[in-house]
Amino acid sequence: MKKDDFWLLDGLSEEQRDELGDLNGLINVLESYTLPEPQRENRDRLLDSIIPYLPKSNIYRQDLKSWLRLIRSQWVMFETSFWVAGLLVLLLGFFMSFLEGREMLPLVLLVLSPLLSASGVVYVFRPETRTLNELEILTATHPVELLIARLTMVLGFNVLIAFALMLAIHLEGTQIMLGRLVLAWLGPLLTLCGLALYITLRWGVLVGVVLPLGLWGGLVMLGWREALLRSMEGMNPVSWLTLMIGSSNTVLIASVVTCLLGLGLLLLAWKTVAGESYTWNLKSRI
Amino acid sequence: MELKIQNLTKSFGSQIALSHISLELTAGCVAVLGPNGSGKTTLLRCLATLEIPNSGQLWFDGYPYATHLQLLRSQMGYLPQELNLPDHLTIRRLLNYLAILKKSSHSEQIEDLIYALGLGKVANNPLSSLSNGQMRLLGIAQAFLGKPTLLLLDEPTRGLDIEEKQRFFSLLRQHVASRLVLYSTHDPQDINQKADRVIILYRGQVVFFGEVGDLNPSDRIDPKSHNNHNSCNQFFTSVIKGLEY
Repeated sequence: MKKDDFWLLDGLSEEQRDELGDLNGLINVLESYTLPEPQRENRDRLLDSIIPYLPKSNIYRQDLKSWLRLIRSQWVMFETSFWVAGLLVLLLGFFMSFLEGREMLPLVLLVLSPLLSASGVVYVFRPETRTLNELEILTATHPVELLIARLTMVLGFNVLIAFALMLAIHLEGTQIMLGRLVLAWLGPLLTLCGLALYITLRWGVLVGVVLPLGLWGGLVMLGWREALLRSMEGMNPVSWLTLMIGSSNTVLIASVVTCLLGLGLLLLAWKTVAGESYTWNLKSRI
Repeated sequence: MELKIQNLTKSFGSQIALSHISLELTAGCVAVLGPNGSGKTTLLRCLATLEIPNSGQLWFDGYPYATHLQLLRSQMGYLPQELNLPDHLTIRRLLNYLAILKKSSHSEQIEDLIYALGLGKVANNPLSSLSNGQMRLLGIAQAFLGKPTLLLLDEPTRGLDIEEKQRFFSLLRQHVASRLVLYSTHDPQDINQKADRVIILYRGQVVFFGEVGDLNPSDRIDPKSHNNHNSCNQFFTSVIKGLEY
């Protein structure tokens, strides 16, 4: 092989080529030299040492405007039935406030709000969105950003409905402190949402629906049973439950604990989504 | 621009879908051909990061998948084999939505794609009212959104009539420059004159990789599992006959 043909000399002038002299020997050595295939341990060690120094891509949106745009974009994911279900609960609440049984309104809020929110969370991951979820993965939007946007949409809507019902309760002239009432529905709402989300991400939509809603149904039944037992002592079960929400420290502590538990479960779901790329990295490296 | 696949293996339980695939692909149009169950979809899904390989390494444009997953995902366009999308959406709403997720404004490109694929008349109709061919064209349109540098199309011509196929290949020709496009197909006719190179998969192994014009029976790489020889030969011959047709 002539040195003039060799790529090492590309771009050099005739003078520079002459200065380098005869490179045929070097060329022959380079041509015959092949690097040995690195061992898996060597490759892993190299990757581990390089990764901390690589520029970290900022996966999360910085400005409020683009966050709002992303949240607004999620509107297309929800069919009319989602909004109608929420509004029906709201209408039911307002309707009840005009009836004789309006003292039941706080209980309706307490029972239905978590149920509606958990259903909304599972609805977002319904099977017919599976292909769409795959397409969403292959965009510049990180799955965690999408999760936050969707949760903001679902929880925002349900919390708005709950506050509208609170307004009705307030106007009706309830004796319960509104702060206590907020904690009483917010705790179960967050816990059930967190549980539904985490379970859906780990084990699918069906388990995500059945388990949290079944659990909530069971707890409601137990609470009602307890209230019925009190009625044998001459107390109206609805009045007793309302009294418990308004004055029991046990209910207050349980509400705070469920709020924290719910936030913990939402964080766990967040980590599950964020950890998906980590899993990919670990496995694909083998 | 280069896609490098090294020793890629993927199995589902005891069934090996891809076995020790190693390829280096540069910009251009590459057809992935193979009979049912040969691993075409699994290969494209692994390249699209939707399946985690059991072993192997992948790089695109010099970036390893293992360290730059999100960056690489943002450069990809993918058409899945099955498009199961929420029925209440319309073509325009879906494309607008995905354009927002791709973090840039593409309203002009959306209209261009809708026009180029002949979807203008049905762009505002719910997806439930679209024909199979129109759904496929929508899938193709969303894959081209955002001008991705790596396009992975799983059977893009399935269910398309001749006119729709022509629209697709015309769009492909316009966009193939400085990109790498991989598309899978059953039909040898789809690779004739449209693909620069062809990969032929058979039972999870690459039995041919090269330029379309170089396809002849003597170039076939023997698969490692020797009990497949006859059926593999038959398939290979049918591909070549299909190309000559």
